[in-house]
Amino acid sequence: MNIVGRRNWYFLLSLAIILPGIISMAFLGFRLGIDFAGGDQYNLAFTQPVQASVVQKEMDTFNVDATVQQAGPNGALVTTKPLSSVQETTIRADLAEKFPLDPSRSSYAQVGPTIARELVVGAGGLIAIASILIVIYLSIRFNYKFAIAAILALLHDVFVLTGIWSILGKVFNSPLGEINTLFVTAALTVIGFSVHDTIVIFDRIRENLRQASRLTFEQNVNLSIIQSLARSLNTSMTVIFVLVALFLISPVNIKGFTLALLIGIVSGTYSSIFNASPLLVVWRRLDPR
Amino acid sequence: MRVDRRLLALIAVVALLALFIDGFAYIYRVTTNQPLTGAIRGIPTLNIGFLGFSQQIYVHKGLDLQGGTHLELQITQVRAGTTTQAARDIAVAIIERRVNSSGYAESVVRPEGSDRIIVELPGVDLEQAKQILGKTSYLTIWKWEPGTADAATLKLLNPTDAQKYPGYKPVPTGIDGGMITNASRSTDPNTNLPDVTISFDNTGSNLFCAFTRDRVTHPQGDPQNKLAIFIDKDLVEDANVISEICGGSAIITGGFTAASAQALAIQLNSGSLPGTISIASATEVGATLGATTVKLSLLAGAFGLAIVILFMLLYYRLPGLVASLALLIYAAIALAIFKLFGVTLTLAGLAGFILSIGMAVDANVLIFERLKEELRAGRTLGAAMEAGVHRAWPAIRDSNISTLITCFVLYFFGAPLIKGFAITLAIGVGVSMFSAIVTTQQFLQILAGLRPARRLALYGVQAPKAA
Repeated sequence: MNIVGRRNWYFLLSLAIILPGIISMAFLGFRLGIDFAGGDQYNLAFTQPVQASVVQKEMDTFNVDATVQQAGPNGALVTTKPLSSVQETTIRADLAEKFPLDPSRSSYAQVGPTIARELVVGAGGLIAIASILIVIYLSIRFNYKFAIAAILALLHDVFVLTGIWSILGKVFNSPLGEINTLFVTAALTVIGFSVHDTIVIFDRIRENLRQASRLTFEQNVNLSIIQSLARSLNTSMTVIFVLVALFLISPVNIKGFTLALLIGIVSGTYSSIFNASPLLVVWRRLDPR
Repeated sequence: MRVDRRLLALIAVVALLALFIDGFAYIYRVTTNQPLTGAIRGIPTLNIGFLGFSQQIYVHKGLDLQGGTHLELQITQVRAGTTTQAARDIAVAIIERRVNSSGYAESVVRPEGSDRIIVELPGVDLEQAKQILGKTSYLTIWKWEPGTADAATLKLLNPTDAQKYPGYKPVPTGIDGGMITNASRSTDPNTNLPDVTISFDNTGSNLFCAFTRDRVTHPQGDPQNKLAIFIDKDLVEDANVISEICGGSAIITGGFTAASAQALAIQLNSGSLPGTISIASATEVGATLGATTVKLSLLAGAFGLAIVILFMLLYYRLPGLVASLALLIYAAIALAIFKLFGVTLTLAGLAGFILSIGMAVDANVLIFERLKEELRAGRTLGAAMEAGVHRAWPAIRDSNISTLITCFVLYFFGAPLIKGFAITLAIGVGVSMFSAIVTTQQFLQILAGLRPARRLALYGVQAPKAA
C-alpha cells in the first residue's frame, strides 16, 4: 500500500469536504445556540404527542421571536430572545395550561447577553492556547515540523467539524447543527483525540528514522503509517462503536454532542493517517534539510 | 524481566481499595441498618478514627443528571464604599444563609469571577429558586417621629406604609441588615408563642441599644414606641419595644405564626444585599430528565465496555483477556477516585470518562500490536512482552501528555461545564497510564511464566518459520 504516494488525492478529498464548509461558514455563518447568542430555551416534554406548529402559533402571540422545533413526537424545543423574569413566568404558566406538559422531563435554560459574549471569546481562546502548548510539547519531543504537521491535521479536523456544523445548522436548518457549549466540548475532545492519533504514527516514524536503513524518508513515512494502521483503525473503531451506540440512544439535547464527536473522531483518524504524515513528506521535499 | 512481586501487590492493594470504595455505599447501608436498594439516607462517610480520616464517599451528580436549577448571578450597582469583589463575597454569604435556612440539601453557592455567583439547587425548579433567592432585599430599621413624610422618604419607601400613622413619619435609625449576624425563629418561654431572635454585630448592637433605650420611654401603643422594619420599600414588621436591648441580640414578638416567624427570620438573614443581583444565566432540568440521562449514559458505558472487551478477545485473544481484566480494574479505580475526591459528574464529565476508556484501550492496543510484531520477529514470549511495552511507551506517553495539556487548559480557563469534562478526562488518562504500563505489563509477565500460555496461536500470531 502506498499512502504517501497518493497523498495528493487524499489532500484533495479533505479539501472537497472542507471547502463547502468554509463557504457555508463565510456566507451563512453558524446557527448559534443560546449559550452564544443569549436568549431563553424551553425543552418541553409532553405526556402525549403535540405538533411543533401548534406550539409555534401559541408562542407567536407573545411576540418574543420564538422558534419552535419538533423534538420527537412528544417534545418541542422553544427558543426565544432574552426574556424578562415576568415574561418567562407568564410563558411558562401559559404553556403548562395549554399543553399536556410534563415538567419533570422538561428543561429550561436562560443565558444573558454578557455571558454569551464571554463564551465566544473563551472558546476560541481555549483552542488557541491548547494548540500552542501542544506545539511546544511536540517541538521538544519531536521537532517543530512534526509539531506543525500535527497542528495542521488538528485544524483540518476543526474545520471539517465546524464546516459540517455550519451546513447542518444553516443549509439544512437542523437543530443538531447548533453551536453551544456542548459542541465546544465535543470540538475540544476531537482536538485531544486527533493529536493523540497523530502522535502514535509520528512515534513510529521517529523510531524508524533512528534505525539505520536504506529507505528514503518518504518510504520510511509510508512504512510507519502501514505499521500503525492496525492500531489506528482498531482504536478508532472501538470509539466509533461506542459513539454510534450513544448517538442512537441519546435524547435530543445531547444528540448534537454525540454526532459532533462521531464526525470529529472519523475526521481525526483520517487526518492522522492521510494528512499529517504525508504533510511531513511534502515539507521534506520543499525543504530537504 | 520477571514478575515483580511488589508491583503485583501494589495492583492488588489498589484494586481492592478501589472495589471497597466503589462498594462502600452498601457497607454504609448495612452499618446504618438501611435496605440495600432504594434511596439512600445520608451521605456515606468513611471514618477511620486512628488515622484521623473522615471523607465522604460519594459521586456528586451534576444538576443535568439529577435535576434542579443552576443560576449564575451577576452583581451590579454596588453600594458606594464597597468594591465589587467585597460586595460579591458579602452577597455569597447572604445567599448561602438564605439557601441553607430554606433547608435544601447539597446546594452550592460559590463566587465565580469578580462579579458572579453560582447557585446550584438540586431538585428545585426555577420558580422555587427565585423565591428562595428572594428579591434583592435591602433591610432597614426605622423609627416613627411626629411629622409628615417628605418626598425623599416616599421615594425610598412604599407610600402607604410610610404614612401608616397619620401625623407620624418614618426616620432612619442607621441600622440595616448588614449589621445582623444571625436571625432565627424562637419561642417565647412565657407565652409559648413563636418569635424571632436576632443578633447584631458591634455597630448594630450599639445603635440598637441606643435606639431601644430611647423608644422604650414612649408608652405602648404610641407609634414612637414602635420599631419599623422595612425590606426594600415594604414595611414587614412594626413591633412594640418593651425594654431596652443592649446585649447584642433582640427578640421580635408580635402575633407570629410559626411560618411567619420562620419567614421573617429568613428575610432578616437575607440581610441587605450590597448591590443589585440579577440573573445572568439560568438552567433548569426536570428530575426525570436527569435520571433518564443517567440511565442512557450508564447503558452506553456498559455497552461500550462490552463491545471493547468482545473486540479485544476476538482480535488479540489471550492478551485481549488480560487487557479486559486491566480495563475493569481501570474502571473500578477511576470510579473510586471520582467518589473519594467528590468529583461532580455531569453529562460532559461522563463524556470525558467514556473518552478516557477509549484512550485506555488504545494504550493496550499499542502494546499488543508491538507484541505481535516482536513475536513475528521470532523473539521469545517474555522478551517480546518486555519489548512490546518498552517500545509502545513513548507513543503512550506523548499522546497522553498532549491530552493532559488540553485538559489542563480546559480546566483552568474553561466554563464550569468544560471543567467537568476536563477533570474526568484527566483522571481517566492518568489512571489509564497506570493500567497500561503497570497492570497490563505485570499480567502479561504472569502469562509468560505459565507453560500452557506459551502457544503463539493464543496471541493471534503464527510461529515464525525457522530461517
